[in-house]
Amino acid sequence: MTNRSFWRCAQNRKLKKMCLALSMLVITVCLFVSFARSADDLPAEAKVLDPDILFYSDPNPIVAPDGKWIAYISKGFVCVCNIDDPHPRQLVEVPHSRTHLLAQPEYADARDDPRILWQRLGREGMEQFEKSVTQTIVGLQWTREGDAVVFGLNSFDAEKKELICEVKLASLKGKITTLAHIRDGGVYTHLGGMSMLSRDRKFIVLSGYVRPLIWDLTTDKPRATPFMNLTPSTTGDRWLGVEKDTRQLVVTDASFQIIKRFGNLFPPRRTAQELLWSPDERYVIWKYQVGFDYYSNWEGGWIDLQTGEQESMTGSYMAEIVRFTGRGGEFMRIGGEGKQGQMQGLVGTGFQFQFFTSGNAKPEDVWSVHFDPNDRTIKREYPDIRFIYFSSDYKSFVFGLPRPNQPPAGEIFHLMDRAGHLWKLPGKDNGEYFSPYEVVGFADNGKSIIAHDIRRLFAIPISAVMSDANAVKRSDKLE
Amino acid sequence: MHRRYFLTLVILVWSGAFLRATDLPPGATLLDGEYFCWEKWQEPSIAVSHDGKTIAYVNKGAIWQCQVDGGGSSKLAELKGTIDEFLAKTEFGDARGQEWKVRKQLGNGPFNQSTVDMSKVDGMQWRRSGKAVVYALADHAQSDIHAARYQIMEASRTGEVHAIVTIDRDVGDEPHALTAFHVRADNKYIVSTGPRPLIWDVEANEPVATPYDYLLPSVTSDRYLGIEIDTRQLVLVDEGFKIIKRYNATFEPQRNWDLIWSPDERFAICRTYSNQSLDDSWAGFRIDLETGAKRALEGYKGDRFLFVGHSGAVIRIGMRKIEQLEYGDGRNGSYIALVPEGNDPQRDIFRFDKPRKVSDDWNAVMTYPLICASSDCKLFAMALPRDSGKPGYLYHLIDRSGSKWPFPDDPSLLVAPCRVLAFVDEDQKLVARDDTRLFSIHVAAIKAAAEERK
Repeated sequence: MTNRSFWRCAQNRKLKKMCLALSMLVITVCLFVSFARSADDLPAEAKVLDPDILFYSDPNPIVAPDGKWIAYISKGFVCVCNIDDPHPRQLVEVPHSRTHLLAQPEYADARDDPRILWQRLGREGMEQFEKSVTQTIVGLQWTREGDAVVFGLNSFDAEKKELICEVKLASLKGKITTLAHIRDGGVYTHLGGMSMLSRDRKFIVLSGYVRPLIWDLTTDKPRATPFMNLTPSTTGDRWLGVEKDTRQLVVTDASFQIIKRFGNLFPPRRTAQELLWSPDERYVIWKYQVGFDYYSNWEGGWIDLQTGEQESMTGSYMAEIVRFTGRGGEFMRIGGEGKQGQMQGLVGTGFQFQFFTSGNAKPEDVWSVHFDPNDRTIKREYPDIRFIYFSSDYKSFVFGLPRPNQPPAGEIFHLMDRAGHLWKLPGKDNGEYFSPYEVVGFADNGKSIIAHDIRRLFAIPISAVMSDANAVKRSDKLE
Repeated sequence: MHRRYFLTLVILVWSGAFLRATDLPPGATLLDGEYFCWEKWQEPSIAVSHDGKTIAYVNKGAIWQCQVDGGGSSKLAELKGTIDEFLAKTEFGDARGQEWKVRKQLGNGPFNQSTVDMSKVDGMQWRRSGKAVVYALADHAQSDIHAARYQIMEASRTGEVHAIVTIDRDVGDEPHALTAFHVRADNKYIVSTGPRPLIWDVEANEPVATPYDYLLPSVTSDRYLGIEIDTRQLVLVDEGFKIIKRYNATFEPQRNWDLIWSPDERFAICRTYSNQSLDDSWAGFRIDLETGAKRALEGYKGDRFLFVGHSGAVIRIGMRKIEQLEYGDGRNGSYIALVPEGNDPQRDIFRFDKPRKVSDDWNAVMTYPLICASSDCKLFAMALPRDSGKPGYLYHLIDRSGSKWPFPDDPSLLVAPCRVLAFVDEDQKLVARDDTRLFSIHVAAIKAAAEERK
């Protein structure tokens, strides 16, 4: 039967109904198959925490300090979900935020693919859409006790041309408190970045472009902050800082009064741009960017505050990750190595994933590669430090490795243990940039990985990942 | 009455004789016959002691002092290795200490090369006791071009010179440059004052954490008026740099402010300058620090305020708004006005506006001359465009009611008959300079001569 004769026959009313029914059936089957395939993508051990999420860029989901809860922004709500007992809860609604708008029925077609919105609304329509996004959720974090989440709601006062940040605390019990109304011209502070709630919840320390700013939550006003840097203790209520003008390394009490001075330990023209403090409050690592641009090398040091012992440190890229592991003065360094190129900036020559028991210890290499920057035939396979997550004990790591066959460009998430064993996260390559899904962190004391795809937030036990089937042979020299 | 006329007559006779002999203005006393000077705009090149009887000045590679009633000058301190010493070299005699002329003579490159390691005298001021002057030897070209060194020096009247402290500022330090500084009477601290202040512990020779964005020392005590960092609140700071009072005044975050404080510490003027480029305007207020009462004020960069008595009334010395392509030094129009206490409107004492169409020769005046005020702000010395319309300015004495007494004119000079630097000696005299000499002039003599000419 030719097409023509088929459609002539279809003019028959009965046949028409049948065709319609058949079409509906096909669509339903397709949707079902699609959904079923999507569900099949997850490992059998995966536990779906929220089956209907709508994420958009920052802030990323954050795991609570006890590893049992996750907080995230979805469909314009600040949500939380218990990992053992996954019943997602919407704590705070944020109207006029981006995902709140995207969750409206009129944008349903663009939910999974924002490009559709562009196609449908056009340039002017998109400008209108962007204008209607008047609230942005920033700086989502858990309180240290894990009983509440803190976040900022940024908006813009067009009349005064000022950024306004309302800092809110939403407890798991459902109580919402406004902690601060911060208005600032943005000279020193930026309200979207890192902010740290003090343990006693009396202050918020905003990271700044030049200096931090202490915001007194009792008076809802800024407080003179004569420090170039402030880092909270992860175990106490003290702060480590570098005092303004004197450049002395100091420890303050909970109300920012200096209780101990360690002197100006920094070489001329260097101070702490990044200041790390070990959980036992004994060791300090500081970093200072040397050059002008973000890719410049850094100088710094490791200091034992008890003995005064110091070791200098250097690195090729300021973006290098340095972390104390919580085992005394042990720390890790993860990042690229480079050398000055013929043009501006550095060209990559290697990658290191190392542990050091102290500032002067020899490195324990977990991943180490060196390559000739001019040799384009070498496969540069090493973890992308922009998307790397650590278990709380720093014994497990999840990161993206470049997709083996590109295009499409992207990263495949892998799990690695401290010994350097590597496993690919189970699931088929979905062709998206992050595959098989995007990881957002570890939970449950490193026993689970929290990840999401376009619709679902879920947890995967790392035991399900560490199987022979997922094991990957590493391409670097250690293997 | 007769006594007054008699005195005037004596001064006129005496000054007339002097004028014939030395060609100085009437009533003038020569203080230094070989005065090489280059000045910054709106800043006198001399420091007047608190009793107004002595001046200190930089000349021919040294700091000198002299009594304003004459009697010769004496050297307080040699300025070895300074630009001032370099400019005073005999080979640059024709330049008479003026940097731009030496630059012209040597060429920019060789001049910079010759002076790269030389320091410059900055912030010369008398101690409140009047027993010594303090000054900074500022060197902005240490190991590399971004580092700076400030040697804070003290030269006593008896000729002893010693360094109080040496302050090094490095790349990235804020403040990098000590633009103005205050030496405490007890020598314990040096405070870099004004915007981005820095307290320097002299004994420890290191900075003290300075939680202020602005610090202004009192002229009568060791207290400071300040703006606290981050809170941007106006505060009163004691001699130990602790905040002892907070005022109901906060400022915009751009940190483009300044403060003026009355000598009795009761009133302050707070100004916030515009952040727009090419916009010299400011907006601010006068605040009674006791009652908190404020009066809004606005103006342009270059406005000066001088508090009068204890009422909060203030003399304002300013210039009219600068139009496009005009010089911003006041030559296009300046005024002296009184801002009364309370909210009564500002009242002009005297004002001039440059005629719209004038000869280009006006621009040959390198900078509009300084307007000086007596310490009680009852009398002013102000250069006004010549009545004849000829290019240049003639100094006048002007009193609070607007009455004026012109100085004797010399049409060959663009600023005649001299440049006035300050009122001294309980406002009885003026210190002034011409291109070669430093001298003092009796105010009464100028008035008398003007009356005579009338």
